[in-house]
Amino acid sequence: MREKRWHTLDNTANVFPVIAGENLTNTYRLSAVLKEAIDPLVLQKAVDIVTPRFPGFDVRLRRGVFWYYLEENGKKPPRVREENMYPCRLIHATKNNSYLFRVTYYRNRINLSVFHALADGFGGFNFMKELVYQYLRLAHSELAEKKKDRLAAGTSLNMEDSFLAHYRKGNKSAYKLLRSFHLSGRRLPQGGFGVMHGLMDVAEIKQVARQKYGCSINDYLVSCMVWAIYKANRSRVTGRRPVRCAVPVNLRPYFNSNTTNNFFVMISAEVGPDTLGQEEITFEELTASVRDQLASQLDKDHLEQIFSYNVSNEKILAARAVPLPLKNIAIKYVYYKNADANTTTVTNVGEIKLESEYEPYVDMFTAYLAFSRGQELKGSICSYKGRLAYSISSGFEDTIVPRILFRQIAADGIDVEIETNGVWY
Amino acid sequence: MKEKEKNRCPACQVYINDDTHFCPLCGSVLEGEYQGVNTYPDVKGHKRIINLTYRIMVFIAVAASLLCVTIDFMRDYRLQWSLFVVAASLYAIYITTMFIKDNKSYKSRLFFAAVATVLFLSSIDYLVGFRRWSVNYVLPVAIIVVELFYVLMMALNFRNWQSYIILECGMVVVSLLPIVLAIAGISSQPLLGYIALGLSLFVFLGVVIIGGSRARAELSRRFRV
Repeated sequence: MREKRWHTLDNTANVFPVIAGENLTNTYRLSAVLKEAIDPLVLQKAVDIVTPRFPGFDVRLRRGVFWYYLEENGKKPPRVREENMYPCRLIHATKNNSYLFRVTYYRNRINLSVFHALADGFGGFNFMKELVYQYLRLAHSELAEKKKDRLAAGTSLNMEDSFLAHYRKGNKSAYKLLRSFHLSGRRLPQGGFGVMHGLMDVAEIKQVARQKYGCSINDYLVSCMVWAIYKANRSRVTGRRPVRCAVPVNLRPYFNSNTTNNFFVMISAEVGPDTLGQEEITFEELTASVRDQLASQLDKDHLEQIFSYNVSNEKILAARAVPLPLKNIAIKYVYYKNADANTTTVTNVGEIKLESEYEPYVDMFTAYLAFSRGQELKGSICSYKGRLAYSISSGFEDTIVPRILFRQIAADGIDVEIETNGVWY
Repeated sequence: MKEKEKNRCPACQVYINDDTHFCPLCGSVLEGEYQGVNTYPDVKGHKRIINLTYRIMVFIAVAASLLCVTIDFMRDYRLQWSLFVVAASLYAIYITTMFIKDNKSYKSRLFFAAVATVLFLSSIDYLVGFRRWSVNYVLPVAIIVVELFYVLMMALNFRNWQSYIILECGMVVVSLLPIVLAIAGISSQPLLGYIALGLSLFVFLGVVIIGGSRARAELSRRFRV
């Protein structure tokens, strides 16, 4: 019998098992909306075929004396189920055949929920696309004839810890540990999880962002979020507690990596009464400020500095030799200190591209993050074939922030279609 | 804004795809006759049933305890038999919570169920005058039962037997407890404690020696600094 495959968690992933709980699930969901109803048996077969091909997903989480680690799972791939719970629920290591991802379906949609310790959005979509390809090949014989039953060219199986590969010794922390304004309000009953998708044309947003505000789509959509939070809480946002929006940056293009493990850092943009030195801020001014703040941080050296500090800490032998339960206390403390620094997070997983043969079968992709303690509202952006989905996940009963956000986008002349998971009706 | 067939909110100026006649953003009644589609299931009812059943169970246990404590106290202003009911209720709530709501592995569940059982029986022993049967017999027998269960599970789950090594390691440490209690004079019959410790030691050594390289690899993974 061969020895089991195993690997350590990457620098970011070390945090997720420690802080994960029912209220902080660290799970994100990627969905593919097909142009046909999902056949659960075919989907199960696709999961059974694809899972063993991805060593980064065919794992379970184990607890060592000093660290968590991931070990080859060896059990049957997770069972596919019809969606019957709120999205982004915690993936319990002891259920789901010990896998750290879950596959569900509802009508035309395939959902892949991923525990963040496994992979970030890049790694998640890397797996998701193959799952969709496999499903379509099984469901459509004409596709199976055209395409061989193997992974597509360009799919990555690289599991390098790119943080370790690219960190530089001796860097100081580049994270801001200042507190930020935090949203508050009545929560949805019974641990409810609200999802609202704003669907729009990429071309329309691009035109507005470029021509009206002189910024990128990402800058514009981040600005809309910051604006909505700022405007909804104008009297409560202070200079000491500004609205600060964390924006994850995919580091792969900067460091020439194609790892499927986590490889991102957070940069941020903030707006408060002191940001522009004036009490009243217009949306145009705010967008320019957000654009400049984000641009100033998108520098390879700065990005390297952000993660190098964390990796340097992980490399200290004295810290490594601390037993896991004590390490967990320290990790939790640092995490919550950092989490307090941000009001929300807006992540952009970018444009999803499929091989041309599969495109006619897929209508849309969406992605969203679980909201978390201190950040009970988050935004996620994802586009496919010229349609962009700006998805808001929220634990609040009111919809004031998404209302201001989507009204702003609509006021800029962009057609917005809204879909929700029904919790606000 | 282009004219679409979909229902539109006149206040927010957005189109609503859901099967609804009012806007989820602002509550305004929508313009248009479009029959929307809900793209998510209604999960609220499902969660309610699970939570309700659990809460009813907790309520019954708490109410029974309070009722018994009140009746017991009103008889002679002392608490006697009602404490058994309180201990039994706490035990029942813990065990039910662990098996219904917790998501621990079956290995952890068995371990914590054994701990809860030992604590529950120890409290009964204490309430009836502490004749030490809980520390003399219940504790070592619980260790032996858990140990034998792990051995059985290792045999049944043979493909993954090495993941039990760390538990066996922990069981050796736990098995020292009856010996410590005997040395401290809390228990008076250490024989079963020695049997429990011996069993744990032999099982651990057996797994490490017979397991060979796979056992050593598992230990090196678990103890990697």
